[in-house]
Amino acid sequence: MLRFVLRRTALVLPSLLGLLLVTFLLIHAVPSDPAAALAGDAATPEQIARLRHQYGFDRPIFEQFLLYLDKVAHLDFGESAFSHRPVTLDIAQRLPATLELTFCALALSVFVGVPLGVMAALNHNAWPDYLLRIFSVLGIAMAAFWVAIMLQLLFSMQLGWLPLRGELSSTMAQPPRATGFLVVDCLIAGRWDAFADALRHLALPAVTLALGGLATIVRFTRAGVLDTLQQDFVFYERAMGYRWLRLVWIFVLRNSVTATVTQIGLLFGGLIAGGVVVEAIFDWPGIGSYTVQAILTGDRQVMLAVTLLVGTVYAAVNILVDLVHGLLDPRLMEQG
Amino acid sequence: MMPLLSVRGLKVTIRTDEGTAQVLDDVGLDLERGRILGVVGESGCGKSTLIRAIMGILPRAGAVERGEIWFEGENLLSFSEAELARDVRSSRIGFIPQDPLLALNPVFKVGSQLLEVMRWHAPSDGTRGSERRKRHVGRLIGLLKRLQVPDPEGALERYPHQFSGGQRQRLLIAAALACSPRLLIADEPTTALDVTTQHQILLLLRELVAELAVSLLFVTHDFGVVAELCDDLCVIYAGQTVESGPVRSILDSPAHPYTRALLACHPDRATSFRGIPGSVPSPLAPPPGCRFAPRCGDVRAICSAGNPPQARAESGAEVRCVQYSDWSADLLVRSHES
Amino acid sequence: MSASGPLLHRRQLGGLAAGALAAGALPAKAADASTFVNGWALPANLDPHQIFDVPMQALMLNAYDTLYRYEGDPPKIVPWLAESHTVSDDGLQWEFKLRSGLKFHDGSPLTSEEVVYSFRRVLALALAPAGAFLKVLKPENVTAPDPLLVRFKLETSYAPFFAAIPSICIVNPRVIKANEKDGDWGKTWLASNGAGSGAYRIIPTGYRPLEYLDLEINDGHFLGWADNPKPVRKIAYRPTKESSTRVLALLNGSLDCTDNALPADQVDPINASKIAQVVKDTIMRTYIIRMNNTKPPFNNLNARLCFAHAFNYSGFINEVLNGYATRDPYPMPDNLWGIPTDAKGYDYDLKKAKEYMAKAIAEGAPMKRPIEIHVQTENEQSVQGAQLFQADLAQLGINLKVVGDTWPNLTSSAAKPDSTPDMWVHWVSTYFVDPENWVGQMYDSQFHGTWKASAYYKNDAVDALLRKARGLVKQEDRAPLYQEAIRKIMADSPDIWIYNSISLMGINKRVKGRRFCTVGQGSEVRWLTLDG
Repeated sequence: MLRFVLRRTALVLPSLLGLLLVTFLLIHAVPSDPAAALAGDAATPEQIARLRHQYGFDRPIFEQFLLYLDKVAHLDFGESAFSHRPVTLDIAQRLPATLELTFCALALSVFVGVPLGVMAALNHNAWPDYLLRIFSVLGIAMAAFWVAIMLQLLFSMQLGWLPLRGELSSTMAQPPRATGFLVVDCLIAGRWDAFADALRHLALPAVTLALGGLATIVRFTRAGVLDTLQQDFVFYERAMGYRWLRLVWIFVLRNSVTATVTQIGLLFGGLIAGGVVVEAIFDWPGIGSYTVQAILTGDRQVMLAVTLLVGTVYAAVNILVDLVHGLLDPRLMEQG
Repeated sequence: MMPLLSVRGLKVTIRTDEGTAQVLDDVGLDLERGRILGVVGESGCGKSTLIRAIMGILPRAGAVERGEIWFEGENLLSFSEAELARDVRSSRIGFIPQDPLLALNPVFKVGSQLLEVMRWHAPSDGTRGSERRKRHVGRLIGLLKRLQVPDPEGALERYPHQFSGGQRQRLLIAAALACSPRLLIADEPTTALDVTTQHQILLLLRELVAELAVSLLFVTHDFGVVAELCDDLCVIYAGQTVESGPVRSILDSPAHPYTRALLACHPDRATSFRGIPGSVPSPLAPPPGCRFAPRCGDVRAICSAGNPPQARAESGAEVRCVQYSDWSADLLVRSHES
Repeated sequence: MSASGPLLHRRQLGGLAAGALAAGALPAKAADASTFVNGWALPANLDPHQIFDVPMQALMLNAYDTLYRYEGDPPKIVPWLAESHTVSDDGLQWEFKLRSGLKFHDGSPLTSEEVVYSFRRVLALALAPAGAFLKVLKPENVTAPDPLLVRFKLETSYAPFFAAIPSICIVNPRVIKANEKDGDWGKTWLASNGAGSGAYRIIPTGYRPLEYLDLEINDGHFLGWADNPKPVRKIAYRPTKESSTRVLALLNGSLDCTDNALPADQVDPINASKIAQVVKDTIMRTYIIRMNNTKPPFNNLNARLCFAHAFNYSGFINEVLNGYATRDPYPMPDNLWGIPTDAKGYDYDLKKAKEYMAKAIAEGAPMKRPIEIHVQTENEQSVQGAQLFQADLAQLGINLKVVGDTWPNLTSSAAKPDSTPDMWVHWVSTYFVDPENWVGQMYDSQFHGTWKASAYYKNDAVDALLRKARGLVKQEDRAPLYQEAIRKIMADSPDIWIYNSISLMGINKRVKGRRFCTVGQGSEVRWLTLDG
């Protein structure tokens, strides 16, 4: 298993390098001047020229790429042209917020979606199945921003149960940050008031983000379970007197979720992308709005770092998915 | 004394998009204690449905229309699904499936699958928890040894795909016997195996039935297997029992034209490789009268007039054929009125 | 002018949201009577020597002090850290006399030494706020002859120097030097921290760039708090990215004010609510369609006049902006000094436009070639203006193509006449209150290559007037020169000047005591009191 992980990791490295090179070339193909962006609105041409030289933007592109690689190898992602802060610092603060939201959304869509998918399959072509099918089409079709605003109107405005925006109330003092994950940091600090407040703030964005993925997971679980129920071993297990609930939720489900797990890996990328809209609407201080800002302002260092980071996270999640596949189905592990 | 298992007048239908299929129509059989009953027929004649009906696991669209299934003095058809799962399957009726590779759950260790069965169905011996589990592991290992599975302890820790076909079948026989049932039902358990392995397994089964005092309902399409293994025989055609009786007598003098035709096809006895002309009629639209009539070499005008009644052949077998009854038109009318 | 804008435009949904609320019950949110939850945008970072835009102005006014400050409406430059100043007759030597007993947030003294450090830091970093000083001030010519006196010796006489003085924050060198890295003037550190003396103190642990920032009251501020017995004790910056969320937050009381770019269609729903209202302020921020005067047909006066008469000014202001802007026919805000009020601007008149078009064609101008207008895609108003223009020009048979673009790309394209689009749309905000901020930097040909001068307009008489005005110190001497320059510029019609802005800001009714000034746009919190 260790060998499996090492080999997959070794395979990922060239992909990431390629990703970085393509991004680098694409960013440089856009005729915007990073020095002008660094200098700001009120800068003079002399100020801009000085910065262009200082940051090496006047060197050949290949040389710039090598310089960049050298810096990345030392975990230095440069400075944001927009905020003049080290990109590493910005990302270290923002990535945990995005991951927290993404994992919550993922967990929600899995823990709700898998049971719903199983129920749909067990009630194949009966009303619960039809209802879930309609729901999953809606879940895919409904735009996240629309869902988000409706949730805000209902839960924040009419009922007043949940906060409208942000990750913590404006009157709530921040816990000391250790891991960067707000919920975890609240727990570490024993700040139960902030913990509850943070969870309340997570609810709406996580539900919004979960919806699209939920529908996918319901569909794939349903299909997987339906397929498994046709298998001979299900008849055999029934004939051997397996308890029905255990038969479905353990022995059938484990055979059915291979496709679902693959989808979870793919969804993860989608969730990070979908997070851009959700983070904007709920003012979630994550990587999404940071990236949008970087694209709008032509902030090259940030775009490169985020691309590399999201690529790495995505690759890691997919290695994890393969590992989970291997754990779920020993035959796959042997094939390597 | 009643037979251990007695199926009487069983009629099973399955709803399909094209209509209602009469998959079983008046099947009957008796299995005496300690004996081995072979059920023989071509593919599609209802053998699997018969097993499913006895186990109480018909497909969603299937229904028992008529008939009785008596087992140890109780009508299984009066049991709820929950009662069957709790009290009958594995604990009283063990099951050996046709294809051991497809029947085992590919992603769980063999041990955990077998112990799952024992956990719910093994007879209580007063032990609980890990103690009980240890007893179960012990019994399983004993059974696997008896079934000549090499390295029985290690076998429990392995996955189904890590065994050969013959060994998988031995595992499943062990599973069927694990909870000491009174009846074993085997669904063509040797079809997927090569001849040598098949022979070994049949031998083992024969020994085990005698040793453990269980009865065996053995479904097959192979008369060779029947001859090697069974005490009694029940031939099924198109959802009906056409001939039943002791194996010897039927093999020696088959009474029903279908039985004769089947035997004629068997490689050991075949006079030609022609096979039986035609095919099993669709259960959606069974022919009137004797269902074998369209394929029968000995057909008479009266055969398609109505369902032939049971009769006793000279060999002592029960036969459903007009040749053996003093059958007449008014009898037919009477049987329809009753 | 900022490149940020809403990610998605959902005015309809926002309206729907507000409408649904006006009808339904309004859950009151328990508000903290000493915390002002501020919906303004945050600057890109917290260092006032690196960033200089409207969000930074708003932050500076609360967290930092300057020698002089703009107060009031119309804005007046008033003594702040300095008590007074003198200027030599040749306009080269400026001396500022500091108040005594000034202190930074950490309690250390604020004297002329610290002022000198602050100006040198601005010049060394040479970022946005340095723009007005780089050409006229050398670091060694900022000196501290005594602890309460700061002296500047300029290279040339430059009147906007004084107008730009309120843009330079005085920072505390002691805390910055302690966090310097490789001679970076503490740039990285101050980007996320505070080192000021202002009415409020930045709490660095409560900072997440662009997301949130907390400030707490500085009880020891030099002005004292006698004039405000119940001041806001904590400012919680909670900028919202989406206008629908922003309006909802205002309406449920979790936000005390929105930013000042509220969409016009939100005004009525907010005013209909019990909890909030909309305040309207005329600010100095002009909306312009640029023409690239080097590219035909824009090198032809009649062609430019044709375009100037083809924009539906009142239609845009009244229909698209719901009247929340004032028509401004001048190349700078009509509420600034130096405007030639006798000069007449251009009106929407397609008949006249046709006549000018005919003349232009007669003179060989390629009026029928496809013309591109670049807009800031993320900024709804820039798109709307271009689309309106497109419809009217189509009636004249002129083919205008609307091209989506981004702010950084547009500003870098503007570096050369060739890469500058035929036309593009932007605003010019108040960086300092002086005609130099508009006509000076927009139409003096020495600024060609910067986005502000992207018309590439060149008129020697105008150059001479603007340069002369820049070198004089007294407003009464400079005003006639600007009036004359503007008359000439308007006659040449190098750009299409459309409106001066009205800022719209939603504000909770519990907020009292607001004072408006176009610099900072009413964001100074020290005057505010929260009811309840």
